[in-house]
Amino acid sequence: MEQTTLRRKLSPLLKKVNKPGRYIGGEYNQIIKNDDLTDVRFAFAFPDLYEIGMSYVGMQILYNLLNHTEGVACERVFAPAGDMEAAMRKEGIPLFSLETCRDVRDFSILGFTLQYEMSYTNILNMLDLAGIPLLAEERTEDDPLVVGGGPCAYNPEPLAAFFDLFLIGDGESLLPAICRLRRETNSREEFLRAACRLDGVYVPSFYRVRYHEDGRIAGFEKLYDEAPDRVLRAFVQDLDKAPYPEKPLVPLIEVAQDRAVVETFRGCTRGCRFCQAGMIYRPVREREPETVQHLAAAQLANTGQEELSLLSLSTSDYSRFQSMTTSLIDMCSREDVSLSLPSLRLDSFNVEVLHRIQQYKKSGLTFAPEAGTQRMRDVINKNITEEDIFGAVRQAIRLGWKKIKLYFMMGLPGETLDDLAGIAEIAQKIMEISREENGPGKGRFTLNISVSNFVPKPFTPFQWVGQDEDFYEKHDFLREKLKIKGVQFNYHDSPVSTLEAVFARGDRRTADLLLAAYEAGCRFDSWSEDFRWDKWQEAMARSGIDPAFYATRQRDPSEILPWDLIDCGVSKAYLLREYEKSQQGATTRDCRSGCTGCGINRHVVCPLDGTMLQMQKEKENSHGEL
Amino acid sequence: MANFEICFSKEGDIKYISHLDVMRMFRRAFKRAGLDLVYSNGFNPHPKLSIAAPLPLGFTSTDEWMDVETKEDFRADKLKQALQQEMPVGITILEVRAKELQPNKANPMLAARVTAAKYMIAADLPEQTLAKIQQDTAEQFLAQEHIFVEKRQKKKKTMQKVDIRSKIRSLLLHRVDDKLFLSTLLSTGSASNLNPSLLLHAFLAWLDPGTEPLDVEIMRRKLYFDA
Repeated sequence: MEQTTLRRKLSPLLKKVNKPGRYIGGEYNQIIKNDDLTDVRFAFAFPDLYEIGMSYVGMQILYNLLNHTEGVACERVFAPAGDMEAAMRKEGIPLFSLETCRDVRDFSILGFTLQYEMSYTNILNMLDLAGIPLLAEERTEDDPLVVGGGPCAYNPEPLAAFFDLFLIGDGESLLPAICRLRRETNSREEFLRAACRLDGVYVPSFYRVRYHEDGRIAGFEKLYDEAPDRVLRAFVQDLDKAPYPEKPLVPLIEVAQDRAVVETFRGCTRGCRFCQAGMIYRPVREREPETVQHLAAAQLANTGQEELSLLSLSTSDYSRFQSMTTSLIDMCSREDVSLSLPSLRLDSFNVEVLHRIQQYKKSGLTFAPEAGTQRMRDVINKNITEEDIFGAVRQAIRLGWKKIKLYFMMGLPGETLDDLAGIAEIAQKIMEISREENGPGKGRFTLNISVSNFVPKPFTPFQWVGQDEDFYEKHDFLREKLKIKGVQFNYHDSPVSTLEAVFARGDRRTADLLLAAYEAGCRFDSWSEDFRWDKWQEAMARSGIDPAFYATRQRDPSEILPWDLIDCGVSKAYLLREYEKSQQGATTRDCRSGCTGCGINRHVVCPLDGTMLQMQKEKENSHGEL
Repeated sequence: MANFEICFSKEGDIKYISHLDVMRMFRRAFKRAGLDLVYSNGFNPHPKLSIAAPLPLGFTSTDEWMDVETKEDFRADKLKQALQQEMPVGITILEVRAKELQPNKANPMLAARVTAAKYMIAADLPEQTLAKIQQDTAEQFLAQEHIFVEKRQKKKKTMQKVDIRSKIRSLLLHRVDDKLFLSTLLSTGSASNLNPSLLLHAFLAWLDPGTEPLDVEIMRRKLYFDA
C-alpha cells in the first residue's frame, strides 16, 4: 500500500484506539534517511507492544548502527495492540513502520528480535498483518527477507519454518554485512547462499532434520553443500570500539523503561548453571571507564533523560566498578539525574553505594539468591552464602530500606521440599532481622518473595534436564510456608512455564503447535490478561505436539539436540562437565580467578587473565602435537 | 531565578500524546537545551513547569500556555529559540514572555487564572443530520434552560447527569459540504470546566437523537485568562 493511502486510512483509526501515541513515531532523535540515498530498507520488528520494545536497549543499538550505515535505512515496527489490530484488519491497513508509515512489505529485510519464547505468536501475527507468507518456502522475490536474532535465536528451530535466516551472536558487525550482501545479490537464493558463509548466519532451509521413530533427532542433513556443518556465532571482539548510541530515541509516551542506558560490559564470569545469558554472551568484554562516562554524558545531553542506568549481566562485576560509579554519581548529582544500578550481586554488593545514590528516595531493594538452601545454591553454582544474604539485608534495613524483594527459582534440578522450605526460612529470618533492627512496633517493613518456575535453556549445563512436573503442588506448599506477616509471595503461572520450556528446547516440529495456537487466536501470550491456556491446549490436541516430550523429558547427553547445529562458542564438553558437577553438588569458581575451560577462547580472545594463561598452556600443548 | 510564560501549539500526530506526556517532553527539552528549571523543595522534587489547562488527548491547539521557573535569567527571545530547537515535530513555540514578578497569591500562575477556551469542532455528519441545521439552530439550542449530559465520574466510574448550559458561553454553526463546524467558547479552569466533546455530544443528541459523527476534529483556538 502507498504511504499516502496508508496515512489517510490510518488517521481516523488513531482517534478510536487506546494509546494512539504508540503508532505515530516522531520521537526526538528519530532518524529518517533520505529515500534517494537508501537502497536497503531494514524494518526492525519488536514482537510486542511499543512500550515494551522501546525499553529494549538492543533496539537502540541496532537502530543507531544501521542508520549510520551508508545506504541503509532502519525503521521500527511493533506489534499493534488487540484493538489496533482489529481496526487495521477491518480497514485493510497492513503492518507499517513508525518512521515513514511505510508498508512493511516494501522493506528489503524484516528483522525480528527474539527476546522471549512467549512472543512467538505475535511474530506470526505481524507477518500476517504485513501480508507476508508465514512459511519461508512460500515467499517470493517480492517479499522482504525475514530475519531473526537475539537470545532465542540460539535455538531457532521452533521458528525455522517461518524465517529465511537467523543471525546468531553479536549483531554489531553482522547486520551491516547482511545489508551489504542484500544489496550485492540479485535473488533470495543467491543472497542466502552467500550469507551462510558468514559466521553467525543460519539458513534453516539449507538443512533437513531426520528423526528416530521415538521422536528424538537422528541427524541433520545438509541440502546445500557449502553451508557450514555448524554455525558459529558472531563475535564482537572489541566492545569498547563497537558503535553505541549517543542519541537514543526519546519516547513521547510512557514506556516500561525510559532512561539513558549505557552498556558497561557484555558477558559474565560467574557460571551460574541455569543462566543462558551467562553462557551465550561470553567472553566478558568491557567498555573502558572513559567510554562509559562519555556515552553517559552524551546520552544525557542528547535526550534530557532524568535517569541513567547501567546495563550488563552483573553491574558490580565491572572491573573498575568503584571508580566508575564514583564519577557517575558526581556527574548525575551535577545534572539533577538519578542513577540506577540494577543487577548488583549480593556478595560483591556495596549497599553503601546504593544508599548514597538513593538517599531519601529509597525504592525497593532487590536480591536474587535464586535458591533456598546452600545445597541447592551449590547445585546451580550461585556462589552466595546465607551470611551474604543476611549481612546485606541487615545493612540495608539499617540504612532505612522498608521494602526488599528476593528472587528465587523453583523446580531446580534435584530440588526437594527442604530446599523450598529454605526459602521460607530465609524469609522468616529476614523478618526477624527487621524486628531486631527496627524494634517492635516500628513495622511497615515488607518482604516480597518472588518465585519463578525453572525453565531449562539451551546452551546451559541444565540443557538436558527435564522440567519439574509438580509446580502446582510446590506452589501450594510454598504458599502455606510463606504465610508470614509482612511477607508477600508471588509466583509465575505454570502453563506459561511449560510453553516456555517447549519452545526454548523445541525442534522444528513444534512449529505446528505454534501455528495451531496462532490460528486459534493466541496473541501476547506473555501478558497474563491475554494468555489463553484453553486455546493452547486446543492447539496441542490439533497439532499432536506432546509438551512433555520437550518440557519434562530428561534427555541423555548422547542425544542429538535441536540446537546442536549452532555453536555458541562454549563447548558441549564444558556444559556436560558442569552438569555432572552439579549432580555432585560441586561448585565451579568464577573464571576471573582462573579459567574454567568453557572453550570460548577457541574462537575469540578471552580478555581475562586466567584464560590467557590457559590459552598459553593450550598453545604449548598444540605445538607439541603439531 | 526567572519566570516565564510560554505559548505553544500542538498540531498533527503529536495530538495523540497526553497532557502528562507533553509535560515530560518539555522537562526533557529544557534539560537538553541546558535551561535548568528550578525544582520544588520537599520529599519528591519536581521541576517548576505548569501547563495552564490540560489539553485532552486527540485535540490540537494553537494556543497552549505554561508557566516555568528557570534557575538563570535568559532573554525571552533566546529562550524561545533554544527551546524550539528541542521540540518534536508538531510543537511550535509561539511566544515567550518574561514575567516581572514571581507567582504568588496576588499574582497567581496561569493555571489559576484560566477562565475560558475557544474551540473549533469539525464534525463529519450524515446528510440527514446536517439537513436539520437552520439559521437559528444554535440560538434555539442555547435557549434551553438546562442542557443535561451524562458524564463519567472519574473516581466512582459511574455516569452522572450534569447541566452544562451555564458553561457554554457562545456557539456558532457553519456548514461546509458534509462537515459541520462549531465554534464555541466554553468555561475552562478549576472553577468551571467543560470538555468540547461533551458539548458536541449534547448538541447532536438534541439536534438528531441517535446520530453519530463519522469523524470529529477538535482544535483549541484560544485560552482566556483573568487579568
